[in-house]
Amino acid sequence: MMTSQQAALWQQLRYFELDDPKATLPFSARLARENGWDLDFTLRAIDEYKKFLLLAATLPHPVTPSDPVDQVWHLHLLYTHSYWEELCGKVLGKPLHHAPTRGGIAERSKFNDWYNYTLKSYVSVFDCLPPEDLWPTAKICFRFVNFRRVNTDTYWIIPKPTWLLLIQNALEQLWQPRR
Amino acid sequence: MATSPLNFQILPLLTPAEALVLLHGKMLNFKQLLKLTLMDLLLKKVLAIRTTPFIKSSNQPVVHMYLHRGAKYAEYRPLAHEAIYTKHFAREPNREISFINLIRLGRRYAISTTYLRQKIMKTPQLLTSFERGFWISLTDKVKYTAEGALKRTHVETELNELTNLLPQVYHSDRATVRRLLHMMNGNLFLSNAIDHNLLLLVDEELSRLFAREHAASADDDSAEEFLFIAEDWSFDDSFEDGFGSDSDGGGDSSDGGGDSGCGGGDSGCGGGDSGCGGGDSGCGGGCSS
Repeated sequence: MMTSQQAALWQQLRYFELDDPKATLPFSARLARENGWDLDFTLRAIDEYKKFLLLAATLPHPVTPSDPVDQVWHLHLLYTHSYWEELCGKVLGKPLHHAPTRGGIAERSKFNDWYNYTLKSYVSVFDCLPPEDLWPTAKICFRFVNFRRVNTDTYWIIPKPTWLLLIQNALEQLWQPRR
Repeated sequence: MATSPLNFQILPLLTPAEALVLLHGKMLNFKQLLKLTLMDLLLKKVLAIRTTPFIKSSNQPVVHMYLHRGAKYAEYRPLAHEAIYTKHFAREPNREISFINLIRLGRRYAISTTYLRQKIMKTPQLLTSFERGFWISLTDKVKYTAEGALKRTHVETELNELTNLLPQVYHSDRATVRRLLHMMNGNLFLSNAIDHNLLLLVDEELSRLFAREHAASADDDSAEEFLFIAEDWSFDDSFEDGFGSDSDGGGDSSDGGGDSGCGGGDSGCGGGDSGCGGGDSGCGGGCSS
């Protein structure tokens, strides 16, 4: 259930437009293109990013986005005017910094915990479960994430079959250090 | 005030897209298909519009339009060509999509004129109107059956009737116009005697999209005289109640946004030192507010 402060902020965030209607390549189109997402998924990811912003700005504990939501955040950070002046300056009324992981097992488990808190808070604030494709469980979210920038003009991208991913996943679990 | 008798038999049974396919076969206007389908869904209250005041950086309020499920969404069974607009609201009941983005989604999922036309030709109303068969579908021929040809003639006749009737009743017979609207929904706009603010906005946005796609968008919108329904587009209830009345103009099309982006160009802005990501597990990143 949202507090009145959250509800007021949500009204502003919900209608905070990231797309410049006059741009040839608006924010959402760029986001879709750079991630190979379809437009519907992209727009939903942007909606979830706005929800994440509400959580980040109003919850007392640190929060962590899912990978798709993080991708929206990354791109928004490049639109410095929109991010720092419009969003942080006018809507949130305070800066919202992005703190990437410093790597290592401890960090991984820290973000894992934060992510789980975030999911819990999502449910309690928005009174609904987060969509699974945009907010997968921590187990899925932090696995299969070896992303790399590839120039598709010079490289082909061929998807691996699912069974291979499953085997890879099982092997990774087998080799994971015990805590 | 006496109302005119309305003898429309076939048009009320069709969606505007079906009527267009019957009328024009392969010579369809893609933009018209997309435009009238959206308008029809709004008039049928399957989708609804809300406007939100939005404060731009220069503190100029700009009206933003968002579409969401309408009152009839739950009970309406959209046809395949209508699903290009409706399916985005299926998963989340409270989803709101900006007007511009819904048009982009519709255009994206429509794929092409041929693809959309073939979907329309398979609706229950048109299933027996066109000949089918392997060769026909392979060559994408559009051949009317006897039933289809007859339907087409009926649609033409009714459309002519509508075009003649509208200017007569528009100013003098509100009740008839209201009945017509209830009966015809988006088909009303098949007649080039009438237009609507929102229709112009959709048109404008689609033109922009097509221009972006380098597809010539210069369909000659016949510059004939037409009646212009200038009234607020939040026509959940007001469309019919205020039909032609309290002409408010609706406001200027959403031009918010702001000039963010250091982007420009195409593939991004380089530079910058925000440098997130990287790290170990990829998706990390908390926030300290």
